[in-house]
Amino acid sequence: MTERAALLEHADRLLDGSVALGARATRVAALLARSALEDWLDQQCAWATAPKRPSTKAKLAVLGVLAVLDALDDDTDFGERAKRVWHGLSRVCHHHSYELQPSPHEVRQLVAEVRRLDADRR
Amino acid sequence: MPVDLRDYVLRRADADDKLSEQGKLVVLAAFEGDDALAEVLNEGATPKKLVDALTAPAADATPPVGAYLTSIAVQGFRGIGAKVTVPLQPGPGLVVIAGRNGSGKSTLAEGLEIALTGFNSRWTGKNQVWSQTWRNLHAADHALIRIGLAEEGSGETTLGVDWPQGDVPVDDLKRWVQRAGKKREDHDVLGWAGALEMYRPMLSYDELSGILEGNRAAFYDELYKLLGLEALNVAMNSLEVQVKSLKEPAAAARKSRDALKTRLAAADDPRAAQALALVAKTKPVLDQVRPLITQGAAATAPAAWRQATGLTTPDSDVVAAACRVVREAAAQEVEASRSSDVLAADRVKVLETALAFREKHGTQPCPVCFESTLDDDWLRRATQAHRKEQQAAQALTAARSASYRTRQALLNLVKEVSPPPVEDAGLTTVGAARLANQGFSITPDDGDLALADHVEAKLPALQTAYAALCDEAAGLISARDDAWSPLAVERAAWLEKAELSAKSAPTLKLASEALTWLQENADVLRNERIQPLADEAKKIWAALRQESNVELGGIKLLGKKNTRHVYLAAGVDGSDTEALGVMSQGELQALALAIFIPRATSEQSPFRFVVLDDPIQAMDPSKIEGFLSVLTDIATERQVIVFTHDDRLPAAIRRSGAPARLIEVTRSANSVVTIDESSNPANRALDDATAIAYDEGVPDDIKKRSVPQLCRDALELTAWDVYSARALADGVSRPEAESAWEAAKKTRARLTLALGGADSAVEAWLGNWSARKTALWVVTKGVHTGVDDYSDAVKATRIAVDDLAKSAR
Repeated sequence: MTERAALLEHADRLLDGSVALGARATRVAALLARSALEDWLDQQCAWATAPKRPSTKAKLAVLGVLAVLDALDDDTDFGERAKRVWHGLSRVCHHHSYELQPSPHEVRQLVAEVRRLDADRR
Repeated sequence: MPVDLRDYVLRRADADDKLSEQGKLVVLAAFEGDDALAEVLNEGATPKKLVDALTAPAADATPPVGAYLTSIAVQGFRGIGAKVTVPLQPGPGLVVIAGRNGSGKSTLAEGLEIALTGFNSRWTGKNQVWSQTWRNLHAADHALIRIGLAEEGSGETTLGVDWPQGDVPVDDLKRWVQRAGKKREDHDVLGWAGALEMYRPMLSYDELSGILEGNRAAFYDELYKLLGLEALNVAMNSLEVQVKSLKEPAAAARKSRDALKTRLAAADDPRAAQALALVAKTKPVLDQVRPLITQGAAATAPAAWRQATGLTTPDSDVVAAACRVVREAAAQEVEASRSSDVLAADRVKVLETALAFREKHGTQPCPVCFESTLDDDWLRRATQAHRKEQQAAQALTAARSASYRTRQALLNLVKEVSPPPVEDAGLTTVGAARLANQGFSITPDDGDLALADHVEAKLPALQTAYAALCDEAAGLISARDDAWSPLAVERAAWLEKAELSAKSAPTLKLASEALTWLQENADVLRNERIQPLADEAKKIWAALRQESNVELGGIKLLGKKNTRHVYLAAGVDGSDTEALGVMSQGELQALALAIFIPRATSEQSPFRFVVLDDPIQAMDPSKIEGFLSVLTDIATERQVIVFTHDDRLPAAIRRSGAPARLIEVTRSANSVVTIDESSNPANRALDDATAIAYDEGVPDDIKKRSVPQLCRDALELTAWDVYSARALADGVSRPEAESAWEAAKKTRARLTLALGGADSAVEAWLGNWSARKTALWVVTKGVHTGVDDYSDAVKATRIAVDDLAKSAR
């Protein structure tokens, strides 16, 4: 099992309650999923070899435009999907004054989306 | 009728073997209208032309010419003081107009609604204050609304609303339409009244919850209209009317027959039984019944009666004359016989002998008297005397013969009197008549005078008796007739009705068949018609539901008349139920959207835009992504305008690549409202380009590939906006604009389109503007060769894109 898969596995267990973390469980699960996504994103950005690491925003932007340019497997959408799930995870990882705690269901969907991205493009 | 419903019925009818070919025609004709229906039901073969027209599969339905919004402008109305104009990009796409509560954003939505419909749904059922304090106090006294429309094929159109000055109620408004290059016209020329109600291109938060919580029957009716099912009702109604009127002759015939049967059963007449047997048959053979009606009553009366009415007696005058003649002849005979007696006969004998003697012996002395001579003189006198004697004898013979003849004539008169019929139960006077006849016809044989006396004496009695008998028989016959003729009249009336009914029976059978088929298939038709909408709603619900455990099963139109309602089937964790009962407020709203959106975006709607006013008030943050994907999905075919007061949807747009524009509305003191397009796809491409260009961690070869590409995207997106907005405003249809765009493959050619199409347009636009020149170089050459300074390239492109966007305004 890759490191990413393990992270996502942990997130699942937090969400289904088999590892009890109380109220923080969903947010921790989201953090795990985001780590997995970052790991996946780094793998997609094999070009980032310079000593200075590019920002995630730049990585996502490049991913999006290259996905369209290269048009691998006619799958031009994953750059967009990556952006969406990234923003979704970023939102639930932080506390927002105007929003309630993220629900397990919502995070579960984000975790699933990370897993799908990972499966679609290794 | 909407073509696709008819087509649908046609397919279904074709597939149904139980429906006859003619029945199918009737069904289709019912959809076509009363004239076609009458023609198909008419006697004789339906004209082939009509058959072909009815059974021809419909051509592909072309969507109606649609309209996009190009701008919303409001002045002096509710939250907006000085005139505010929101420019909108006509054509499919998503626009989110965001602003805090009280920013004036809802005023824009209301202004649009008033301009289109003439009223505001928020006022209905609300306090008067809502509709009276509508004028903005910070504006000049002039309140107005202007809506810019791009009608496909006819170009720019303005919808205007004006209010007179002074303290007037809000509905004291004047609406008008102005098409490019034409005079202002009445608002009705758009012909949108029905479509507005049917497709509801605008929906506010209030209405959204109302869709499902409101009157169930009203919701049913709205969907019914939307699906074009009214045509089904109209068709069924006209068939019902036909069937009813076709049933009338049969019903009348049956009613008349029932009455007739009762009367016939009660009638005391041998013919009644016969008629009853014929009439009572399930299917009376009309040809057998007919003679019973046409025959007169007399022909069937008992023979004795008919004989009695046929009795005659000799006329008294005739008899008197005959008797007189008999008596005179008798008298003459007596006279004649007196004058020619035996002596005369003997005298003739003597004379004849003497004449023979004289003849034989010539002149001789008379052998009888001895005194004279039988000479010539004697011969002359004797011959004369002989002739005289002979004549007297002849007169007697003649008198006798005359007497005979007159007697015979009188006897004939007597003989001609026919005897009365034999004894008959109904005839009481027949006995008397028989006696009188006997007394009259047995004549005495003792002489002519006695005979005459007899006839004259007995005739009056005979006459009296016969007259009585005849009267009695005639009375009986006519009484029988009186009882029969009304029955005959009634039967004739029934027969007429029965004949009519028999004539209309095949047509009735046909119409009934068609009606029954339609009734049996109506439910299926209804619910299959709703299927595409239900599927669409299910898809949208699936995107919106996210966390909900409620699954939308299907939408059904159930019930009839007062119980009609829309059934929303739902599955909750595997068990089936009615959706409305198990949904939370937020879910209900999402469900209403799921149903509203397919309706508002129907192919047949003339509105190419959908306006949602604050649709996500009760929506969970997690549903926003789903909602956005639903909206961007619709936005590929429709202009979608969403007003929202919170930042969740704008934030989702900003961070995603969704092809959406974001317009922010802010309101400062004195109701000054400003409009700012804060984000659109071109901006966001440039934002991405900026993020890459400025990042030192991104190597050059990656920048070379991605930055110019993003710059090109931004410039082309803007060029398309500028070009398509103008094309639609000029009345070019969207497919035409799109194919012109696709034909211009290179960025420069597309820029030319945006700048008006002239070959020199690009050079003119570039002029001495270094940023524009740099930008064009980056997106054409730089894509291939790479760029020295990527941040400079993005900066230049941003300026060029802004300039290009402004050139359109």
